[in-house]
Amino acid sequence: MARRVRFVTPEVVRLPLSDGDWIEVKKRLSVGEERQAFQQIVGEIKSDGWRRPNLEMVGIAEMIAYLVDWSFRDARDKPVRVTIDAIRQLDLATFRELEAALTAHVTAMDAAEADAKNGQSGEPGSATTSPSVE
Amino acid sequence: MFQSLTMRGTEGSISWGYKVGVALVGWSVRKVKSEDGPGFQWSLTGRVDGPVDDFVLRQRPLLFTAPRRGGRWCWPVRDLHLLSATSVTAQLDPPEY
Repeated sequence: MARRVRFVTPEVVRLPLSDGDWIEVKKRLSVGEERQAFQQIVGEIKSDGWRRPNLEMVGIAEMIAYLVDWSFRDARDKPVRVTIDAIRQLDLATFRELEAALTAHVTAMDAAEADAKNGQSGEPGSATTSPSVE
Repeated sequence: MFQSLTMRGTEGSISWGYKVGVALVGWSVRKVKSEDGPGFQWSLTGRVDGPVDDFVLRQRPLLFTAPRRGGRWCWPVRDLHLLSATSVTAQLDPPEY
């Protein structure tokens, strides 16, 4: 049996968008990348433990964690690097399209991982029960 | 035509896929005629800028990339040596286009 690799390899997936554009996203996040994204969402933490979320980064933090590249060009037809500042400059329709594409990607990856785990275990979806002794 | 060539830049990185292992500020890539046969040998010297990801730098394949007009230079890294916390050298394969 092949040994399981427990580290995330830097694979990317290209997701098509409208008008011939595309984004390239990480296939999976590592725990460090996920925690870093979460850290950006958690804003102020008060002494009583109450947290004020950083609303400005909600949605953007996950996107910047996943996004590796895109096909977008600026008004001078020059390529634009993926940065937080660039994401902040997107129009709302484009941002929502990216959010939808990313959500679909994460859902698909989670489903694929669940299928792989079920396939590895070789167990059926529901556990069988033993017949009672009478 | 050239027996040796040196390229210099102010920004570059050694990466495993999209994962940056080390960012470089101030690098030079030298191309010299191979002493062992036909072809050329490529080598990198760079100054480290910021943290080093040891896990990433142990993975293969690694690429040294640096921005240029219209895109990026890209060399596969064959041997990597972190000389100190601030200095790195590497043997490179011929550049990818």
